[in-house]
Amino acid sequence: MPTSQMQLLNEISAGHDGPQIPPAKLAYFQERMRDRVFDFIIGLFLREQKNGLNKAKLGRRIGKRPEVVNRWLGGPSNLTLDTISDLLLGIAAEELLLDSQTLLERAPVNEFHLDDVPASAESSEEPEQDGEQASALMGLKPPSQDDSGARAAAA
Amino acid sequence: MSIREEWKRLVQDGQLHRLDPYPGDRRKRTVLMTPSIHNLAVVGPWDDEEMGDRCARLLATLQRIVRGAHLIVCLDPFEAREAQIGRLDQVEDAVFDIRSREEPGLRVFCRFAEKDVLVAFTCAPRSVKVSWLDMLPLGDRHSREWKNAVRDCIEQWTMFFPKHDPVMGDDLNAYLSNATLE
Repeated sequence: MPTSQMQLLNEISAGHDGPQIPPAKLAYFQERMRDRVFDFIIGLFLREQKNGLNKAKLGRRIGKRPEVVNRWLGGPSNLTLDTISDLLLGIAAEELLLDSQTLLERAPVNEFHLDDVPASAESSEEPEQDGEQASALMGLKPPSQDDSGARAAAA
Repeated sequence: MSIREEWKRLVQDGQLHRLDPYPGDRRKRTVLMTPSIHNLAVVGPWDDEEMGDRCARLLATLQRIVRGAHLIVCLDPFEAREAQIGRLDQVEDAVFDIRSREEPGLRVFCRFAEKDVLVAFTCAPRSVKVSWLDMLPLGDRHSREWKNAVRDCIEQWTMFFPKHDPVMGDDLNAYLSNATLE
């Protein structure tokens, strides 16, 4: 595993007795998961559009106004577990089957979208960029126990 | 020198930074960042919990673009409702904002160097002042802050790419793959 990835996943990979995971790392992975679910639903919707589905039909099927459907399909932050279920039913008569995958030991994908960029030339730049870029997330320290207590009390 | 050679030179010289995807994710687009955006979203330090939470989410949003996720784009200024990227007034300036909607809302101002290659110049809070950004909230759509942000984006573009225009026009395909119009 590259050094940068190890640092990013320091607390995450530390096991059940490891330190508290910094809130920003939690937020980062929350956002990734939301994006992933959203992208999955949008993919289904785009597929079913080719079979005649549109937002008006979808709204009618699940009893929601078009502007609500528009909002749900507008961005990852608008989804809840209930809306995800409604959308999957209305779009494709499907339900979500859950699976998960370890964040550890992931190799970078050696793929670039610019056709004329030789992969070998690019990949030689990768380790340096990767190490530099993950630094804010990597450098986070777990909140102290005192902080956690104060936040819990405030909540 | 082509614009691609130009931005690659700027990346090599460290004047622009190219955002990496999360390990294992695919790289289907390129997001280039000025040092200010790079420091904000990638390098940090994130001084407090609010800033860390917000900037980590912004990083995830930008990486979503890099990995080629489907994007909703609005090319008509003031008409964007759910779009994730919107073209700003005046359309001939070809300045866009990436809309990061988590609270507090943020807008990243960018232009397209070529198809699927965005250059992000500045970031501003949408409605609420945040202590960790040195820009006032953009506020009302006709505000001075919006105009200043667009002007700043153009000025920075001219500084980095004095001999090249950004992607312009009304063809979504010229800007992005895997995107639809709002």
